Amino acid sequence: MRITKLQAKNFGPYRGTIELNFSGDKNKTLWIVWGNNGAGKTHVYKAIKWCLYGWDPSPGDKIRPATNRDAWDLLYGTNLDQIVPPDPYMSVYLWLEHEEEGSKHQYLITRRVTPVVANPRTPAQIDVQLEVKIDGVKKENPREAIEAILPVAASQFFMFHGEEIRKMSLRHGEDVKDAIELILEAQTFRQGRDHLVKISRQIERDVDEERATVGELGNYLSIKKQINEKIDSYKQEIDGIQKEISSRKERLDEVDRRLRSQEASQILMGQLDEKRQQLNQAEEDRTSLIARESDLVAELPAKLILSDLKQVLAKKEQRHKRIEQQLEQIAELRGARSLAEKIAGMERCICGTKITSVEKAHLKGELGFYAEKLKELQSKLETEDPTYYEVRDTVTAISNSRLDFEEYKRDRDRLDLRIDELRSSIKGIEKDLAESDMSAVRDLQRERTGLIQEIARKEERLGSLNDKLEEQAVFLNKVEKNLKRVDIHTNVKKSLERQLEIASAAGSAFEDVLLELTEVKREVIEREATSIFRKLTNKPDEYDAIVVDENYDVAVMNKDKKLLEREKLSTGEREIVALSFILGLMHASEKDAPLVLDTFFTHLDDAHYTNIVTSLPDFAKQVILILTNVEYQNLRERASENFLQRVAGSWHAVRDQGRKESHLESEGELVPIQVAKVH
Amino acid sequence: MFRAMIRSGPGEEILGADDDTDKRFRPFGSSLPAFYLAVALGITSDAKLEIQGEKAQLLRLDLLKSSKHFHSFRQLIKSKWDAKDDRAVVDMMVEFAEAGVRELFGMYQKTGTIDFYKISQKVE
Repeated sequence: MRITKLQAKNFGPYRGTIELNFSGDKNKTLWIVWGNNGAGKTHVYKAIKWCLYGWDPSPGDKIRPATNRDAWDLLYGTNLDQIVPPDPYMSVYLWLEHEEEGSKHQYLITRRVTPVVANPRTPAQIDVQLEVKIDGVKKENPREAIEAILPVAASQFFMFHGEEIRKMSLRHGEDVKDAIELILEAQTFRQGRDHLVKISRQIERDVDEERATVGELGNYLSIKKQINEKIDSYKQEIDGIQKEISSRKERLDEVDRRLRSQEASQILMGQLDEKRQQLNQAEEDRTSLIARESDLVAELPAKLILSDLKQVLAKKEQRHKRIEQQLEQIAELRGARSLAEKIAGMERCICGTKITSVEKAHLKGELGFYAEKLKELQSKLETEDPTYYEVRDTVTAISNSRLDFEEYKRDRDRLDLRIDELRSSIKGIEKDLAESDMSAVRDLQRERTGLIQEIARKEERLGSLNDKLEEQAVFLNKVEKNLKRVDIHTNVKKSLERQLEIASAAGSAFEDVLLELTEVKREVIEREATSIFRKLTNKPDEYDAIVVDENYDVAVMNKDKKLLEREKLSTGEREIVALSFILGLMHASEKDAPLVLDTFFTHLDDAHYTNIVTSLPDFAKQVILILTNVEYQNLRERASENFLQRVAGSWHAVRDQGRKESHLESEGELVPIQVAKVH
Repeated sequence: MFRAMIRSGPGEEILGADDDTDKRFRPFGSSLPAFYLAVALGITSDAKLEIQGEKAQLLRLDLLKSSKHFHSFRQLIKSKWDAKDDRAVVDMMVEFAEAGVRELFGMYQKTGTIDFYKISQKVE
C-alpha cells in the first residue's frame, strides 16, 4: 500500500488547504517534509495518522476506536491553537494505492469534523465522519476497509515520532510481545476464540436441555418394561388357561364317549346332545340380538329429540307458508297488471268493441293500483329461513328411521325363555342320567358337570385376560411412540456433545496455534532485525545479531554469542536496536505499509547517521521523513548521490509569524546541485 | 360417570388396573352413543348443568362433529336456543349431557344395567 496524495484543510497550524502529492517514479521511495520547530511539519504526520485512525496510537497503546475527544484535542489542544482561532471545519483526504492479487485499487479516505452547534464548547458538539471509497465506490464499513489493507501494527510501529523510538528503546518485554501479536493480528485470533467460547456455552446449554429431556423421556423405558412384563404375564396365564381348557375338553369328550357307551344312558345322551345343540343355537341367536340393541341405542337420541325438532319445524313451516302465500299474491297481482297493460295498449277489445277513453282512464288507474299494491307486498315479503329445508329433511329422516324396542324386547324375552327352558330340560336329563343305577354313569356324570363348570370359569377368565392384553397393547403403542422421541433426543444429545468436544478442542487449538505462530514470527523478526541491524550498527565487528529472548526483551548478541545488557548500550545504540526491531517487524508483516518517521535522527552519531541514510531508501516501499531544519541540513550534508536520487519530493514547512499560520513550500526532487547551493 | 358405563375408550391410567370390573358387561360400546343419549335426555327434560372451565376439552370435538347425529342436534340447538356457532352448540350439548348422564348413571347404579326400552318409551 502506498500513499499517493494527502490533502488537509484547516489542520493544525495550516489555514485553508495543503496538498502533498506522493505519486511519481516508484524507484524513488523517499519523501521529506522539513522545517523549524513549530512550523507545522509534525502535523503532516499527524494528518496521515488522524485520517487513517482518528487518533495517534503509540507503541504499547491498546487499539481502540477513535472518539470525538481525539478530534477535539487536535482542534483545540495545541499551543498553536491558542494563537490561531480554531476552525472546526477540519478535514483530511488521503489517497492510497493498494495492489491485491495483481490488480490495483484506488482508495480515498476522508475524515472530517463539522460542528453540531455554532460555537462548539465540548467534544459532543462536533461531529466526526469517516468515509472510504474504493475505486469510487463508497464502503459501508470504512473502518473495516482500512483495517483490511493496513497491518494492525502500522498505527503504532510504522508511523511514529522520534520520541517514541526513544521510549521503545527503553521498554521491551510486554511491548515487544504486543508488537509481535499485532503483526500476527492476534486480536482477530482472540475474537475468533471468544466467539467460539460463546458458541461452546450455547452448545453446553443445549446439551443440558437435551440431557434433561432424555432423562424425562427415560421414564418411558421403565414404563415399557412394566407393560412388557404385564403382557408377558398375561400371555403366560392365557397360554396356561388355554392348555387347561384344552385338556379339560379332551377329558370331557372322553367322559361323553364313555357315557354314550353305557347302554342305559344311550337314549338320554342322545336327548342331551339334541338339547345342547338347541341351547347353543339359542345362545348364538341371543348374541346376535344383543348386537341389534347397539344399533337401536345409537338411534335412540335422535328419536328422543324428534318432538323438539318437530316443534322447531312447525314454527319454520308457518313462516314458510306465509311466504308462499305472499308470493302467490304477488304472482296474481303481476298477472292482473300484465293483462291490464295489454288491454291499455289495445284500440279494440277482443270482441271488436272500441275501448273508450273513459275505459282507458279506468285501466290507467288500475295499473297504478297494481303497482302500489305490488310495492307494498314486496316490502312486506319475508325472507325464507335457510335452515327450513334442512330441518324438514332431518325430521323426515329421523321419522323414517325404525326404532322398534318393543319388537326387540319381545324377541329377547322369547329367546331368554327358550334358553331357560332348554337349560332346565338339560338339567332334567342330566339328573336322570345321574339317578340311573349305574354308579359308573353317576360318577362320569358328576365329573362331566364339574368339567363343564370349570371350562366355563376358565373361558370367562380367558376373555377377561384377552381384553387386558388388548389394553396393554394400546398402551405399549403409545409408549413406543414416545420412545421414538427418546431416540431422536439421544441422537441430538450425542451430536451436541460431539460438537462441544470439537468446539473445546478448537478453543485450545486457537491458543496453541497463536503461541506457535508467535514463536515462528519471533524468529523471522529476529532474522530481519539482525539483517537491518548489521547495516545500521557502527560496531559491525563486535555485534552479531538481535535476539528476542523468552521474556520478549530485545537484546544484542556479540560475536562471542553473549547477550549484552541493554544498559551497557549507548542511547543511540539502543535507538538503533529499537529501529532495527521495528523495521524487522515491518519486513515480517504480510501487509505493506508506508514508513513515516518524525524527528528521528537527533541522537545518532555520524556513523549511525551515515548507515541509516545509506540504507533508508530500501527500508520500505515508501518512506516519509519529517525532519527539523538541523536534521535536514545534516542529511543534505551526509546524503550520497544515490540517496538524493531516491528522493521523490520534499516540502518546506514555513511559519508566517505575522499571520500566525503555516504553509508548505514544495521543493520537488533533491538534486546534488541543490545540495551544493545549500552549502 | 360416562367412563363407568362404557366398554372401551380413553380414560384408563397408562397401566390399567387388574381388579377393574369386567368391562364386557357395561351397557355402552363406546363413549359417543352414551354422550348423545345423555344430551337427548338433558334436552327432553330441559335440564342443563353448568361446567367449569373449557367444555370443549372434555371430548374429542373432531369425533363429535363427524358423527351421524351431530347435524340433527346442531339444527335443534341453533334454532331453539340461538346458539351462534358450533362452539356454542358443543358447549350447550356438554351442559345437557352433564344433566342427562346423571339420570343414566343413577339407573345403572341401581339396576346394574340401562333399560333402553324404558327410555324409548319417552319417544313421542
